[in-house]
This record gives sequence, structure tokens and C-alpha cells, in this order.
Amino acid sequence: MTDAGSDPTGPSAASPNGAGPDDVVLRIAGSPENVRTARLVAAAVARREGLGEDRVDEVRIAVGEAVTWAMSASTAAPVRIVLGPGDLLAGEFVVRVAGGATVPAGPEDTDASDGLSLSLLRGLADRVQIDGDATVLTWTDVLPT
Amino acid sequence: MELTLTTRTVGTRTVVEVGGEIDVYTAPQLRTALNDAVADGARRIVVDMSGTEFLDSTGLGVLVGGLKRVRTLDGDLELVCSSEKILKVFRITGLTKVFTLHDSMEEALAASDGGE
Repeated sequence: MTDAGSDPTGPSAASPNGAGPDDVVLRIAGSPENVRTARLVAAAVARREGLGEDRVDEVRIAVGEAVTWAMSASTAAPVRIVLGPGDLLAGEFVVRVAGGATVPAGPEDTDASDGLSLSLLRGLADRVQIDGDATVLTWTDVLPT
Repeated sequence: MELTLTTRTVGTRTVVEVGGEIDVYTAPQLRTALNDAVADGARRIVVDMSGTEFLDSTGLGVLVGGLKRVRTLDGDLELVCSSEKILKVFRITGLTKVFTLHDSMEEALAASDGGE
């Protein structure tokens, strides 16, 4: 994976599709009215995985931002979101968002308005990475022990 | 619709009340409401986000755009927001330094005219 500005280490997705047996997979049409659906599902899955309410809100906002990025290519390509636990020893919760576009790889790719979205993402998720056509958000040490 | 918008005048101020969720889908409506207010002559705008349940970067961008537009006309745009969830979004992006954020409409309206 390459990093969208954060640390370069970290476990990769469970399988080439990125969907393990405990994951929730959501596919939505690439239209802005559907971003809210993705947020609601993300919050529900985070809550089900035992994340506290503050974390659930972080996941909600971050997934909304990543899904909005995925739709920014204006191809109306469907967006596929995979949510679930990651490395259990690290207490990880991972969300993969694959669609028309990923977040930019580096600061030189962004303008002022993009910068707000990236600031939010990096401030909310513990790790933001790019893996092929997917933006991968990871929260560490958030699963109940 | 997940967004409600009401524009009204309170003394010298134009209050835009935003209820529901401001995201990439609904933010354009807020942009239109702010543009319309400015086109109608509003220069002291208060965006009341007391009923706002969600705000994303697109919404932030619309608010920043509104602030810039009204400032070029020697006006100002202030916000009413006391929700910790939404204030967090302003904090993470550093926009608490850019916007005047009031805890309540009462506080926003009591703020002195012409004050900094």
C-alpha cells in the first residue's frame, strides 16, 4: 500500500477483495445522495464492533469523507465499502472505500478545499492509506478487549 | 430531504437556520441560501447551526466560501454552534481560528455591532 501522508507500516487487507468473514460489504451507486447511507452503515458497524460513541462519530465522518472522494471522479462508478475488524491484536477497525477515485497520495495533489477533507480524514482516522483503487482507513486499539 | 433551511431577519442581521445534515449532497442548498441572502443585501449573516446534526468538508467549504464572499463586501458571517460533535470538525480543520462561533443565538445577537 502507499500512504496518504501517514506511517508506512501496517497489515494489509484480509484478502484480495478485502472482505473477511466478519466484514460488512456495502455497494452504493456513485451518487452524492448515497453518501449518507454509507455513513449510517459505517456508524452501525462501528457500534456493533464495540467502538465507543466518540469513535463511532469519527468513523461516521471519516467514511463520509472517503466515500465523497471516491465519487469525486464524476464517473458515477459504484462505490464499494468494506468495514470490519482488522488486526485483532492491535484492536483495529478498518474501512476500505473503493470507487472512482482515492484520496490524493500527497499534498501536492490537493487544493484548498481538498485540504479540508484530508485534514478531517487524517485527524479522525489513525491511518489513511491507498491500496490500489481503495482508500483504507484504520483505527487502532478501538475494539473492546 | 435531510436539510432544512430558513432565512429570516433579526434586526440588522440575516439569520440562516440550518437543520439536519450538511454533506456533499445537501451543501449546495446551503450555498444557494447564502448566495441568495447576499444578493438580497445581507451583510451581517448568522448561520444558526443549533439544529445541524452533521457537517462534512463540503459544508465547511460552503461556509468558508460564504464568509469570504460577505467579507469582500465589508460584511461578516458568524456561526451559532454548541454541538461538540460539530465543533470537533471545526477544531480538527483549524477553522475555529477562522470563524466566530457562538454558543447560542442570544450570544450571537448580543455581540456588538462593528466589534471585531
